[in-house]
Amino acid sequence: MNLLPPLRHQGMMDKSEANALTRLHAGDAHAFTRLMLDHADRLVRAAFMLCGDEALAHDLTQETFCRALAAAHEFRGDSRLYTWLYGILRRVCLERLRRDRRRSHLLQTYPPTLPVPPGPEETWRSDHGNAGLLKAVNELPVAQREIVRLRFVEEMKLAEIATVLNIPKGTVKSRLHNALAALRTRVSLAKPAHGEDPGEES
Amino acid sequence: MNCRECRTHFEEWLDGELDAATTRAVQTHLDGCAACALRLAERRALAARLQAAEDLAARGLRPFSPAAPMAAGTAPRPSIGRRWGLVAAAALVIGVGMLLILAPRQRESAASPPQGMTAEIHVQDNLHNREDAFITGRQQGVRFRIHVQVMVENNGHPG
Repeated sequence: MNLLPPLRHQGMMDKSEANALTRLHAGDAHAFTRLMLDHADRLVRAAFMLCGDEALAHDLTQETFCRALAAAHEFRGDSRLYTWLYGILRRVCLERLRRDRRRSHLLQTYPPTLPVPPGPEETWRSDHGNAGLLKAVNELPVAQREIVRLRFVEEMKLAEIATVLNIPKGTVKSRLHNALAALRTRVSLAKPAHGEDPGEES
Repeated sequence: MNCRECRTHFEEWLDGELDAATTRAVQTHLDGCAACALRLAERRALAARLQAAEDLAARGLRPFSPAAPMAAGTAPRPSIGRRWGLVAAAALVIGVGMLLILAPRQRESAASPPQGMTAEIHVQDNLHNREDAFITGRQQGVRFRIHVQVMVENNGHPG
């Protein structure tokens, strides 16, 4: 089974994205489509984090690409392609959650777990001492939790987060500040030794 | 620059969005302030821990498999369920319309024995951007067959 690679930071729109955008505006959508698909697994992962359901995450990603292709002419390269796609994914996810009354909001449990994780049991049961941190993150208001994920996992800039969430940059900054302050009161943010996460003591 | 000012600029400094003078001031402060340098290290550790937690949670996720039309550079059709839903909805609207049109006639001819209306809806997937539904039935002794055809267009808009 192919397993997804860990997330790695990607810079602002690179040369291949710029070339694909030029070709798209010249009427050739194939290069743009291929470039979008390069982000597919990362989007599936983001969708899984947002909705907590693997099958739904694939469905949402598919829908995201459909909408992105239909609106490709609107993408001007003002942001990274991934950021633009993530914004669409988030809207698609919110729409689906509103229709599905079983789930009330994004990132209900962060991170979600797969029904049957692969590999040896001891591997997937291990939380690398992060249980306390994750508990504290899940106790944050959803709006702060989402910003923490976008900032520290997706590694988005404040301006990108503001665009994706459609809120002022100052609001992003204050929510991030409040989230970090709240986390600091509950756990040590520096990596604890295995099994010594302060959050597990209480 | 003091610690409070430095931490106020932290996020923009990390984003590289400060002017040259403020960038230098933050850098200079960080070089000489262990507490603020610790805050910076703390942020990096938090990012690493959250990424590790997600890596672990996402280990078994299936890779994405695009719909064939998308791989060819075009938007895929809506799902079968969604298309059949459209066709069934169209058939239902027409069926209700038939009832509204024919029911008064049935009341007017109350002297004659009422004849029940029967209707069957059959949806056929043509594997093209077209769906067909057939409504067949009998009303007032007249057999009818309605053919509903729905063209599916892929002109969705971003949310």
